[in-house]
Amino acid sequence: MELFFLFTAIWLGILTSISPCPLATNIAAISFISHRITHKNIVFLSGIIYTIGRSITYIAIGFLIAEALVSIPVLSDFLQRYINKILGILLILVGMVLLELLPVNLPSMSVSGKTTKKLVEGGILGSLFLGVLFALAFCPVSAALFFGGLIPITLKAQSNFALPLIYGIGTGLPVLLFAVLVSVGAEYASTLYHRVSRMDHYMKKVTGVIFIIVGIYYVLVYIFELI
Amino acid sequence: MKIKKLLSAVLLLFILLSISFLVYKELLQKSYSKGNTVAEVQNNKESQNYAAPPQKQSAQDKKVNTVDKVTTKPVEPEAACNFQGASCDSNNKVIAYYFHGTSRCTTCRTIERYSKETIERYFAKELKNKTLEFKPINVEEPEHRHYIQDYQLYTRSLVLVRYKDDKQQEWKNLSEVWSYVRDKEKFYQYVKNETERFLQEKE
Repeated sequence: MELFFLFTAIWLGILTSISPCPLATNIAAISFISHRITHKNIVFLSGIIYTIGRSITYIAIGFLIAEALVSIPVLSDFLQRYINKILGILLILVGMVLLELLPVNLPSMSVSGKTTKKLVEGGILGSLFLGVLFALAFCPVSAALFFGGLIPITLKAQSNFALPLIYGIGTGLPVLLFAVLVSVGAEYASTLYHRVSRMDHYMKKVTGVIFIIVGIYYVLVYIFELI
Repeated sequence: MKIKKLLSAVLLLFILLSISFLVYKELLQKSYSKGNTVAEVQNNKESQNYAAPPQKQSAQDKKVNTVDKVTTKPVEPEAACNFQGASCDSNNKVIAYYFHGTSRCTTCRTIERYSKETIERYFAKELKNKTLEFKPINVEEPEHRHYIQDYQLYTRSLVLVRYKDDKQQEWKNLSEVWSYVRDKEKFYQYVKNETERFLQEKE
């Protein structure tokens, strides 16, 4: 039975990952984590951290519901109404930062500590943040799968940690897979490091453009309701 | 360099525009819902609905007349029938609500279409004598938001509600529509069976 629940959770996660909204955000995430393409370990780590970020969100929501701190309809309605609207604007802003259209002084530089600096530069913290944020962006299909599919089984199995965690991994699976491919591919490509050395630079630009496009798409759909 | 500046200006302008549009829309909705409960006398009935969902049918039909743009079926005769009271048998009926939001996704449209098709295909007679009705409703419109709580909606849903003497007797969210949406025949069968059950228990 336990196994059955675990399997269901990961399957629901995979179904979610290919449904429209998470697909769009996962594409943005893939481009984000691969913009450090010459650093294969960072790409791989970012993929994992991003997926953990998604899981954190699902665990938190599962907890809120299991503890009856918030009712499913209220939460689902709130997330679907507001997060997608804010998401579009945020994506455009992040895209602009990546394209260096907006000057940003990362405050964490002054916090000191080599690790923090490394984390920020490598986009590791960014990946965590993206994971948490993107998981909050629910649309009808993903809401049906999460609130109608996963939540009932977590309540039934009284497992509001493991199952949302597994589900989160499922939703991040395409990104995780891609991260592995990039890591492997980057190693292969590093033999041509002459050319690859500037690849980070271009990938960052491409990521910025993708973020802006996905952001504009979200704004058009959820704020102007044009598409 | 010039292009960069131009691009950032355009993007920032776009962001500004979207934020102001968003805020404007939110304010519009807020003022609407305030007006609903305070100003309009006619809508007092509606605010009572929030407290007592089972008795909301007549007020709902009134709303359909004025507000629900999405309903494609002509509702006037039926609503008029309700106003005249018990002479019409439409106060014993089943309503199949399809609840959707403002932005419509492909799967959601398919669910709505299949639901409508099932009901039109198998229940033409019931539709004609008004014992069954199909109503698409946008729950993001302020006056329809109470449905979210009434029927515990968390996504686009098909909900069957049975009324007897204008009182709500039973409702069911056909949540399996999401599982069957990829199989048209199964979907038809599922909605047909559930609707039949609802109609039979009315007798």
